[in-house]
Amino acid sequence: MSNNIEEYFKSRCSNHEMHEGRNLLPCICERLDKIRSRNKIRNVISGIAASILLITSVYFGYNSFQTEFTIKNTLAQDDNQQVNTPKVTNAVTLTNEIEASNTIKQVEVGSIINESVTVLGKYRGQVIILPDQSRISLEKGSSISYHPQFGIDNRKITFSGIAYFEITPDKNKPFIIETNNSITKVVGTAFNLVAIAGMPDQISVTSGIVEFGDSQSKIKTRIVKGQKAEIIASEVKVERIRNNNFMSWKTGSLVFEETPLKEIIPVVKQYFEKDLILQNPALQNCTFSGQFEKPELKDFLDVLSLSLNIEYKIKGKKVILTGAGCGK
Amino acid sequence: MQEVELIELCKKNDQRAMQVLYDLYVPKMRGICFRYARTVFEVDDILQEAFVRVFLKIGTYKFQGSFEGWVRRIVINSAINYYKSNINTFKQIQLDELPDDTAGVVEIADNLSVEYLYEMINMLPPGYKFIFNMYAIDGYSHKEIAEMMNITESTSRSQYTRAKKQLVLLLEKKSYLYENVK
Repeated sequence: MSNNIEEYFKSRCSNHEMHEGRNLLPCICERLDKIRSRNKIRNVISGIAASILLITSVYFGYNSFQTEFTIKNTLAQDDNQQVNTPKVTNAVTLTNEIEASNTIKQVEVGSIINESVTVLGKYRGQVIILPDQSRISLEKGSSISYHPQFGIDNRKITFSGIAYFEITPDKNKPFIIETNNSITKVVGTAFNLVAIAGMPDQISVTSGIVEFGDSQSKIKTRIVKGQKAEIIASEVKVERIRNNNFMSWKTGSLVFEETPLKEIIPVVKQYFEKDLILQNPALQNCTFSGQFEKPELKDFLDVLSLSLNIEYKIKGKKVILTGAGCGK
Repeated sequence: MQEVELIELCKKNDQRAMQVLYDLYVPKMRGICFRYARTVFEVDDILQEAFVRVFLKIGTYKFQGSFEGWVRRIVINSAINYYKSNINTFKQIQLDELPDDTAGVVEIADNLSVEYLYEMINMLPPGYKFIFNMYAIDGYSHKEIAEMMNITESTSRSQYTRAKKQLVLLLEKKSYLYENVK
């Protein structure tokens, strides 16, 4: 038997390196701190619990108390166990009402029983209509997944990337979006959601109200129209939306009004997928005003560098800005 | 710096050592994630989870076996975890052992880019993709795969045969495969 295919793929792929990509370490360290501090608290609590158990069991007699304690423990475990009994649904007869507005149908329906339906954004602004008529515009590379039963008992999806959601109102079935880091719960509203590893999850609400929170702490905060929120160290930080650049990936328009350069960095990152690097920290305070409609990176940088009297250099995924800074 | 020293520093939670270790391993691990994930955003999601686990568990690394192999396994386990609901579903499928009719001597065109091969792998259904990646490329045995994916060894074997068959079909369709005439 020939192992040609294995050998071919192995020799070509197994040690392939990919050097482009964002530095995820700051977020990794934040997650580590969170997990470690939680474990510390848990250890202290279980220490206290253990000593209470010891003292009381001496007092009441060991056997009777121990039984009660183990029953409680098993009950708690049962609660935590996820019920994972897949209902057999025939995925083949499943009618998918997903359609892309630009006539391209890009649905990957699981050929396997009970597999969740996944849609991958193949280009910027790809529109998906869910079975409940909710509309989602996906940024390229984003993905949503949902169970074939979506809309029957619940409206739950998992999401990664950047997207604009317009949710069809349904009071009885709230629409729930789970990402790696956050949970968003809505009834009927429109908002932009960014869920990218290495960056805090961010939501900008353009109509209605949403509940937004950390996926672990489960504490949700209400975010209303005109507000944006980010999850930083498990906490939801709410702010007023000052410009519509959070939607620029979809609308193609960038607007700056006396915007400090440090606030332009995340916009450039999202729209052009480039890291703006300020060689001189004093550049942070430079403010810039201008409007662009579907700008090319070079056109944008030309205007920026001219008006701030700075130089730029594009190096792969990085754009390096050099020049004298601006006073406060 | 020696790898051993670097690992020891990371065990003590030294931030600079962690950055060095991350920079050292992330290109290869990103390459691995690209074979398992569906999108760039998901690659980052998986990588982030994997490195959180690497640093949480680095204290338990006993310098047995290569460190890279240890990290690689965590990355692949993170990917399995990420797609748990998608990839383990083939447990319910009726198993029938397929004869390996891809065993004929074949040659693959050698002008295909790695990116293109990645694309081919990504065209496989999730379960097939994982098993093909793990067995053919990452070099795990069916026994190891069975443990990691919580399936039986025979499932892993039969799914692998199917995955390979499908990949061969894909390659054939694109005329990248031909009989090796000597």
